[in-house]
Amino acid sequence: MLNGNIALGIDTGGTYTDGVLVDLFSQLVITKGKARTTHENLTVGINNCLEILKNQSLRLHGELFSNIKLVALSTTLATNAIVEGKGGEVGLLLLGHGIEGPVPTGHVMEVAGGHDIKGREKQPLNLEGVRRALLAMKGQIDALAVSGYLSVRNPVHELMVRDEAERILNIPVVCAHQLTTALGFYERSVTAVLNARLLPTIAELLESVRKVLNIYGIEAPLMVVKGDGSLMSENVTREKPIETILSGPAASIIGATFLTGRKEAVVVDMGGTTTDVASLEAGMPLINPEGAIVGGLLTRVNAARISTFGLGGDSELWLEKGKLKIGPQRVWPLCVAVSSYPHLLGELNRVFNSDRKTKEVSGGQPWDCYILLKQPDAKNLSPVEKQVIDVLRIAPHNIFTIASLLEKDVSLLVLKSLVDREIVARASLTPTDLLHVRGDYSQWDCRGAEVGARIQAWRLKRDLDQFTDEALKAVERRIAGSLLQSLLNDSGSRMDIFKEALLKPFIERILGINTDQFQCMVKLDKPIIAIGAPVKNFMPRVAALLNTELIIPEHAEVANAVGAATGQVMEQFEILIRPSPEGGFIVHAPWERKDFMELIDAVDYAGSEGEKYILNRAQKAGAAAVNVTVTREDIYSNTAQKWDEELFVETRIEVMAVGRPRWKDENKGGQNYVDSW
Amino acid sequence: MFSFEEIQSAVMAGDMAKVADLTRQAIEEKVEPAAIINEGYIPAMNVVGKRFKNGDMFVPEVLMAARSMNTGMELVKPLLVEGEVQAKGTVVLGTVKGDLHDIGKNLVGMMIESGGYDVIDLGIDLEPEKFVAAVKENKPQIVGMSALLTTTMLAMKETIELLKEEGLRDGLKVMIGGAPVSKEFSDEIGADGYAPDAASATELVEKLINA
Repeated sequence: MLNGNIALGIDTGGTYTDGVLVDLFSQLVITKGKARTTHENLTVGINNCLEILKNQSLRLHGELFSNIKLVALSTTLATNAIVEGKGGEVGLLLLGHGIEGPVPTGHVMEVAGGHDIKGREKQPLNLEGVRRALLAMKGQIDALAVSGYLSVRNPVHELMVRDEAERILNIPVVCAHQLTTALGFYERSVTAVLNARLLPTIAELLESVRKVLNIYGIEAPLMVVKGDGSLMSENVTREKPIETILSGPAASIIGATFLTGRKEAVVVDMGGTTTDVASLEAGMPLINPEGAIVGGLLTRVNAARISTFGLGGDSELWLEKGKLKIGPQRVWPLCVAVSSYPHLLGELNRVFNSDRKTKEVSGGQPWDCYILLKQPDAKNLSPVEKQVIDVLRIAPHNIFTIASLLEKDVSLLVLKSLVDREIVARASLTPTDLLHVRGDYSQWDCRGAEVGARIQAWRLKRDLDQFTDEALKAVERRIAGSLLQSLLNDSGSRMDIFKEALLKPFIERILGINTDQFQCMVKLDKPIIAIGAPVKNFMPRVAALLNTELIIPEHAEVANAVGAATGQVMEQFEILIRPSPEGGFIVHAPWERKDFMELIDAVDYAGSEGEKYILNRAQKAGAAAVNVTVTREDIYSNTAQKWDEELFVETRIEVMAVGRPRWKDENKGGQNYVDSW
Repeated sequence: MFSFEEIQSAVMAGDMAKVADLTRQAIEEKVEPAAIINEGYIPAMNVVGKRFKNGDMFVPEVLMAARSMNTGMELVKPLLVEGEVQAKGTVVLGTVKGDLHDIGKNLVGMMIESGGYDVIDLGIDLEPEKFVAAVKENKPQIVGMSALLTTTMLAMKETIELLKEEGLRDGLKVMIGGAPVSKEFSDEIGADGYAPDAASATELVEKLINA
């Protein structure tokens, strides 16, 4: 019987809503559950998932829900809302600079104001213009985004506009400098608009999650996962919903570190379509310095740096000029298609037992089968496409069967456009099929997988076992190569290891494709943590190629929810201190720009105010037992040798607060620790 | 009879009058204007660059060579059919805010120009905003900044930051130079490259454009 403090982690992913209960004392996963994600209303899926968790825990451990001291949610809602263009009406007020490039709102106005790179006023803020602009937008917008030129060097104009806007409009106001301290006027403006647009969406989600929790009598604080894997409170989420974008992959990285206890690792998450690779350092994912891209828009939101490769269990294995290629197209595995539509097996056997298997099929392979997914709008179809749909409406078929039913040559049937529009699905040979052939899997129809593989093997002049073995090795090499590529990217290189001709002889030997004359070996100095369904079949040899340890943790299939339940609250920012051209030093802090005569005073001020500011922010973000660290770095640069002089560039004060989430019935704050330099 | 060798040695010697005479002669003898540049001036300036780098020529001599080439260019330019000599790229060049030194920057400009690039020289004492405006207007592949004082070097960092704020940094290469500038400083402020002297500046331009 468990009666300690329990955290409930929930992840609403693309397909499944996962839930876990984690015992906060023993740090063990107590129970887990999966329900289908309900995209039209996420709370239905969450409710179903809680029901499963409740029943399971009741059966195994007795009543546990009353011990839940913390609820943490990771959600793709914000990402989806941005991609689908949903959200409230937002006004964007630009200070001192116009904007080219697309902005996700129609209400954009610009007034004089803004600063220069040193944070000096470029031109005075036109307050009269601000008032006029606000009145012009009044009644048409649900929230206002304010973005000032170089507001990250001096936020005062944005703050003045916020005060005016709150007075005149009485709607939420989002200041760009509060979301990011990074340069890039356009990206900051986009970030502010997206954040403002998400406000109603996220508020609605939080309210309905609360309602679901109430049904189960759960009253614990609700935390939400950010794109960097850390947590923020319900209140901060209401203000900064944009921070939740890309939180799913980040949560799974945090979950991986929790489940394995490793702080340094490469985390590989292999799914059906893609494989995500991320690096874990000191228990946190590396952050993408350029900011996250969502729905084609570059933002300045901190998010984990994740390299995504078009390689998964359902990636297509295809032949190009006699060479086996993998992905990036995702298809239905043949074994899946045949177990849903057994008649396809006969059609595939006919391909294997005839000269059909020798034929080239444009835009596909001889074993391809097509399945109708939805009834399309007839007016957007070509005559051939209409005929194909009519055939598929009765039953899915192999490409040759479709051709003979329509009395057409197979090369005249180009169905790519139908597949791209998700009107029909293509089934083809995949790594999942090969695992069925090898006997590792038996979930679907092995016979479908086997006949596809036999045709491919015949075309490559191999026997079945030989081909299966070679193809699976090729998949493993691709994963190993992708892992190396990801690590190379993290090290700052832009080299493409699959394309760079100079690297080819070495990469081929590293991956064991070539052993002529000499061998090459790489050694990863950290383990690989692998999560996702097919990893146990592929990753052991990948880890062997990279000469490192492989860890496949228990509960890996709910790593996202575990990551949510076990995340920490983390806040950080940087204060810049630079020499002023007029003498003295300028402090650029997130809340203000301030002049000092002496560097020591500037540093003292930045350190002590930074500490107060971040403690406040961490507490607001729901942290307890906060540990604040302030680190000072003085940047000097050498000049050319003959000058023999060191140049003071700037002082950077890095302020960071880390704490665990505050639990239910806990006093605000808990004990705080402050480490200074 | 006109010969490319003669015009080359005149350019290398920095003999403005002789370069002008030989260029006129070449034009009279219907030598292709583009050939005068590509086979006369540019090979000569390449040699000048190498000698300067090796310490066999000094700044005043290089300046004279470059000026003599410019004298010839003035005569040839009007004869060039539009687009006949396609510039290999555009470089915006200037000395940063607070710094009035221009000899080195001018030298770099001439060397780059003789390498077949369009050079837009913005002058001296340039606010970061001036560089930004020039980048917007001319869409160069490269921005080159010069600073001769340790006190003005930081203006290079600010200019790069302003390019970032304006969203102009991606796809643009930034190179810096000037006596106090070091590789370490260049890396620190996020420039794409630095050249210790005018001859290497041209090589750096080639490298950055082809990167």
